[in-house]
Amino acid sequence: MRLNEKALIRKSILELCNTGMPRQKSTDDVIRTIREKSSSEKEGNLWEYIIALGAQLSRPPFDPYREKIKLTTKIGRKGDQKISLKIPILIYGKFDLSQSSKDALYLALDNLDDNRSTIGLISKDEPCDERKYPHFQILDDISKLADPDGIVLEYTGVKTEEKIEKIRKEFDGPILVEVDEYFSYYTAKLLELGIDGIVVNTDDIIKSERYKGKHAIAVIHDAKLAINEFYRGKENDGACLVVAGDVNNAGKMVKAAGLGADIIGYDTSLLIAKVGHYSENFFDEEITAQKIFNHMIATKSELTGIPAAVGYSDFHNLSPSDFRTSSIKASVQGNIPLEGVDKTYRNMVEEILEEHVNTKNISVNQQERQKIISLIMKGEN
Amino acid sequence: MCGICGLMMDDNGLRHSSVGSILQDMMESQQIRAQDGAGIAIFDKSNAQDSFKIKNFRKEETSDYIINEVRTSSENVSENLQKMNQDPECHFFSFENEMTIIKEIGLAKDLDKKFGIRKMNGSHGIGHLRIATSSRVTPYNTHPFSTTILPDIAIVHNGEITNYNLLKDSLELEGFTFHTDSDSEVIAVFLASRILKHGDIEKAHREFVAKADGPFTYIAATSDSIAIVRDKFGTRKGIIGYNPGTDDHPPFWAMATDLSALDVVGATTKIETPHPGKPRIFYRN
Repeated sequence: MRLNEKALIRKSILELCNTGMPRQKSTDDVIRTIREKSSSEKEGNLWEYIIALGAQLSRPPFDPYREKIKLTTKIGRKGDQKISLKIPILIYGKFDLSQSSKDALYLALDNLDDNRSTIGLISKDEPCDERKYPHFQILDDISKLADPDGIVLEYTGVKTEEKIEKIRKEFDGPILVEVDEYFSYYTAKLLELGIDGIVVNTDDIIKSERYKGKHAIAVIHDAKLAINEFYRGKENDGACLVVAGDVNNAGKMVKAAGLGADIIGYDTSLLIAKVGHYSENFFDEEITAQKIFNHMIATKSELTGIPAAVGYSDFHNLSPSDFRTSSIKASVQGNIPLEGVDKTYRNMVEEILEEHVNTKNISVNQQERQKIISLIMKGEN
Repeated sequence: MCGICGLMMDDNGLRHSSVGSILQDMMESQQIRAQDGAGIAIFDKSNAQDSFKIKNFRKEETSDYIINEVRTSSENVSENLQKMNQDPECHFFSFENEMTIIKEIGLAKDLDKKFGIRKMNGSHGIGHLRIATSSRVTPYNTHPFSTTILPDIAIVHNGEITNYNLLKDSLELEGFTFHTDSDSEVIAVFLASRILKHGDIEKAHREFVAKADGPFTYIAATSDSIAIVRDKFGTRKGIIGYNPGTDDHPPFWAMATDLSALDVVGATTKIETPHPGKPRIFYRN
């Protein structure tokens, strides 16, 4: 961030402190227009405005031990019922595929397990009998419960809560719930009922009225907050956040993990499309399976790059403090520090407001202070 | 590249040995490693009382910092801690009963000159020489760190806890308070939180090693134990030795970053390096 941009942010916050008037234009947009080539910059995709903060000299990324980065993830809050994934990915098969594509996918998942690279599958289909990978069955009707390793329920209100109570009594494995845009209101209740995590589909949620104009990073950040809120005052016993939707390459997966995702839900249709040359007429199950296998192994090694560069031996140690952003929107929505100032936009607002109140000798109580901060934050959200 | 050291007297209950003098020798021998700050924590059972000491740094207009001390009964501890937390000019220093923490920016020999470290007695103690890497050179970022959760816990640390932001966030969510920007404080707060939870110091160390990432060695002392712990990859040094005792002092276990620190105090028998990821704990007799 350039010096004049820092000054601009500061000026705009002070302006709002003084006038209390909401902005007509976001500070991000103002910055963009004063930058050269501003017209060619791509709008809206906040993923692109997030960069990783490399390790300091005192913790260089080239220590030999860091070459091996742990990706293993456990799903389940109770010790003996946990499912272990060697790559933090669940293939998220919500859409129907042809039987041949499914067979290729199952074969690839078995091969990955043989290669100590276990990933899981979420799908509506009944689990195969001799599978090696963990299968989470999406269950609309609980009477259709086959023999899955885990269950995924879609949240539809109080009925889902009743279903959870019923299933929890007879099913010991992990239960995940795919939530809608109102997750912050009921996640604590679901965790109280004994679910093991939530699945957020960022693509669906950002289309809702509640998240209109916001980005996937806001959904991930808010979902993590909702889980954390349940654990306020106690130790987290392993409830996980599965993020699906707009997280479709290794770069986004790493950023999503930094924002709080424990596991990535990787769309099946996208996966099949990515392995390429897909055509039902020339479909070869083994070749497709091999391509899926190769793609996942490549993704596995891509996922280790950034954690190693920022000084970790475990993928799950990534946090927003390992990233910086040049976008105020990204800072507000994902609580990521702004590059150049190394503070989140919220921290900056709090500091400038404090200074302003002290300099002008204004009497503002805590409640009023929060109101001003919310107003300023809203202007950039 | 900080320097750490610690010792536990093996004195069959005498508990009043020249810990300060031995620690001072060990620190001065490692001074080349770091020069930004120095500090010690010494445990002496004869200091133990029914009340506790809460010490804090207060920034004054006329001087840099002065150290305030409030003596409080166990019933009034939280009230006094709350008062201190509400004062923006106050920085937490230590929460003591039989432990005494002394720390300051500068060299080890200056610490001794100012506070008379060599004259301090006790059963065990730890020492630290700081070179600032991830937080500013201030007296309150100097080691040893203690906590407001439990009294008489002190840690000194060499290396970095790279995932300290994540650990700090989850501990804050659990309701524990931090007082500095240093990654080392997370060790003290984590250990105290787990001792509070299950009362098992060894389990607390094992849990920390499992959760912490990065290259580190730390020495942690409680009123009846001292432990040296290396990260699970063994990327930072740590060495233990035993001095069988002389007419001047009883036998003791010593631990430090550099072998020179063991050499200078004659702890050159039963030399060992702690196994990576496995806490090596010594208990007070």
